[in-house]
Amino acid sequence: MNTLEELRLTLERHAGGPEDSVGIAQGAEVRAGSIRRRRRVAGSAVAAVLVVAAAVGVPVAVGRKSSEPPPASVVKPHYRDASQLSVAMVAGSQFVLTNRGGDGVGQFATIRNVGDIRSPRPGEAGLNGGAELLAYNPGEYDPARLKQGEQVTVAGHPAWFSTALTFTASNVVPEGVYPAVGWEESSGVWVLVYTSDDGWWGHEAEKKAELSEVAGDVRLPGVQDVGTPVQFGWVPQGLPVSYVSIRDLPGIDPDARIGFGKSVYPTMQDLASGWALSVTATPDTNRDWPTVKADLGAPETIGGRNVWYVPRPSPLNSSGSPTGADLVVETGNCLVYLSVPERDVIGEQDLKRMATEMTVGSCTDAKGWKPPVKG
Amino acid sequence: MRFEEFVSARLAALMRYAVLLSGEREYARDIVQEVLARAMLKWHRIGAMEEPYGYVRRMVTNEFLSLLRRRRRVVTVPLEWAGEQRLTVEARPEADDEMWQVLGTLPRQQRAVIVLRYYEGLTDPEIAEVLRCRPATVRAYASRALSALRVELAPAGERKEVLS
Repeated sequence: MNTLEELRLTLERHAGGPEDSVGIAQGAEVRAGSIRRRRRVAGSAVAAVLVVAAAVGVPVAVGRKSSEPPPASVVKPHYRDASQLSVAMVAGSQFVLTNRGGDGVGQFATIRNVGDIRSPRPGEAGLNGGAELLAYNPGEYDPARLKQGEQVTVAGHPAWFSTALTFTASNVVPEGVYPAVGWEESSGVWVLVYTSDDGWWGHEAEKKAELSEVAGDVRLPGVQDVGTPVQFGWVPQGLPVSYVSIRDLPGIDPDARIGFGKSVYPTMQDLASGWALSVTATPDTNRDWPTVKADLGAPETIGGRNVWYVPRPSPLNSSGSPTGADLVVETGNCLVYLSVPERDVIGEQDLKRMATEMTVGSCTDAKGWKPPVKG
Repeated sequence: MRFEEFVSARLAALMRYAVLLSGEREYARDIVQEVLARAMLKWHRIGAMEEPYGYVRRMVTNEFLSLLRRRRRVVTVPLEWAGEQRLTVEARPEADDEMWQVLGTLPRQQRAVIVLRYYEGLTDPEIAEVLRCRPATVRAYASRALSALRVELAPAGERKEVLS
């Protein structure tokens, strides 16, 4: 047995030291700037929608901020829907896509080295760690700045290496200027492979080689409908799928996030948010779930599943809109969250009907996943 | 109090707290940075409070406890295994501390209660306010956590304090 004094000493010993705080204030400032810009974009986009919609009486797509400004006037041939993805790695590659997704503008992916994923100490073997990827739909990317960089060859096609492109924050990358290799596919898709590694200054040649190696294994063989563990037979207001983010690599806990309707925030990254409705499906292996579940009280039963409707603010969702709500569905080996930022717009009955008309596959095995909305 | 003054005075304390909550320095940095960014944007209100630290600490706690936030944290390998970080962690001989390991296996609410009670020194009603639950729930979390940690509650005086 231990004593309370030992517990206190353990906590004292393991609390962080001064070295752990280095750079946090600066990072917070950059992040705050990013949030401010998102809000400005959201505000101006909403204003634009209202003005234009009032003028012409039709729905208008909301603009976005990409890593580079889009061309002034371009033809945008249809390449893929938001619920379709095309990025893959060549067979036999040492790299895999650990996370991938996209919206109506393009796709994103996290590429990592298989050797690191299997290693208990990733990175220690000195392997090429991988990179991040953005693939813009035809007409969505202006390559002018990229083309000011150095011309290189990747997998036999012309490409450019630049150290002057600014990338917005994603789930794994803070906002910043990072080295990138980019090229245009025959489909008109522009692909950027970049790394946020802080240590690239002064090591440009090394980064160029590493990024080129990753880029050389990237393929876009053709668009495919994305599969998710949940499939809905009914969606409020007929909202279309506008965003997907999935993790379906064997060996990593799979999960999926789906955005419905237009987002007022910049998207095409894994931190995207702001949809009229979003769905998150994760394995129920979270050890906190039993505790959280106990706090939620007695569930309702819908279609034989336990369901909780939780208006915010709540411990389930501390940073979401306080006027929103989450419906949690416990089913099979999945926890499914249906989330709305405005519960007055999409209410409890809407979410419960979605849950009623929802089929759920496995949240531990991505085989058998289906498109998010029944065709 | 200006935001810069707050950060200068309290960042290290927030970071220590976040490390104890999350058990992982990089995750703690991620949480504190995100919270400070959001706090900065509404500092005109937070800075005017009597106890800004308590409010920001609650933001850190909520950020840590938010189930939906955790999904956003991609469990994949870092691009680079930072040498400095590795040295920092390995240089601490207590990394194998059994009690610390068990702390890491506790449900988050229980862990938060332990840290708030025995590191931050909050009373159960104060913890209940941070966690938005009843003091009785706090006591239940603490009881379960102490049991898992195999913390002996004797002497009797202390047992009363813990389980009252």
